[in-house]
Amino acid sequence: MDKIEKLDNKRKILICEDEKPLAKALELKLRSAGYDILTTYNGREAINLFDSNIHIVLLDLIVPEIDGFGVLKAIRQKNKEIPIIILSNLGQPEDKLRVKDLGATAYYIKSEMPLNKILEIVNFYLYDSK
Amino acid sequence: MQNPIFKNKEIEIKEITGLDLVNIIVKQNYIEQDDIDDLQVDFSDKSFDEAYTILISSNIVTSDLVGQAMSEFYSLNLFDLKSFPPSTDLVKKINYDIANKYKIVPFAESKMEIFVATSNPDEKLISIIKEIFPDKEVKLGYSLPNSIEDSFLLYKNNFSDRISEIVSKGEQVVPDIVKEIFEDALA
Repeated sequence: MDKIEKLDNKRKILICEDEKPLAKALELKLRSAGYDILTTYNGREAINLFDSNIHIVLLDLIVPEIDGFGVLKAIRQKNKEIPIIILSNLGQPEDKLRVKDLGATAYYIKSEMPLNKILEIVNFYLYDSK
Repeated sequence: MQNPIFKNKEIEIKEITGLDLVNIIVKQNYIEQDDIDDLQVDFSDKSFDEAYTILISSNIVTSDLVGQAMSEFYSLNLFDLKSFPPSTDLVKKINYDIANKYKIVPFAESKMEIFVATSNPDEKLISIIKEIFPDKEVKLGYSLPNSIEDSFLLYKNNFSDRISEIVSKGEQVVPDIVKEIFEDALA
């Protein structure tokens, strides 16, 4: 476990992203917006960290140990409702179809998503879409 | 277009330093001050390019994230000159000396608007660009310095034209051709 922070009483986001500069920047950006963040760089840990206190998951597909498809499947078995946002540079139609079948809430090409846009997406799925 | 009667040539714009860069990406929450402190580098005497190279090679931030942080700080759109390079004709609508002095590159244009990328944002640029494109609304965007510099290569004639020019002059033909070959390979 490289870095984990747990706080209570706020909306909590689980980030699974193995590009450390991006994971760190995402963590800082979302925390500055008032969210609590759990960050992990591998899929196995993401599955272990997921619990009922998590409100949304930001998930890369290419991550070590268990890939994002496996993480998505495992989390969906635990919780059918939570928003799971895929942020990946895999842009093939078959990848999009596969994550849709596994129950992803939305799919975005990571390299095309500035952090501010990701923050807007998180805000939308946590508040506006309710 | 050579902009021969350019009136704003004396306007000076403050350069963004290495310390500015570090402070901006910390302020915009892309890295923490602790990450900077861990590097044990004195950024106060570093240029933007020096600081940028240190940060990227330290793997605490990526060039894409730096671009995002800078554009956010200046409340400008990020213009990606690498993925969407402007045309040579458009770039050359601003005289090279002016473009290089103010680090500006025309990125796109419409009938009413001109979109200009800069690595050195300043409100004064608007009046400078407006003088060159008087009939258009100026839309400024941010691009990293290395992208701006790469776009300046468009001011150079193409390789075969440069070689023909050297041969036609008939002086120092071989050394100049060798120099052009190296420059072309490195571009």
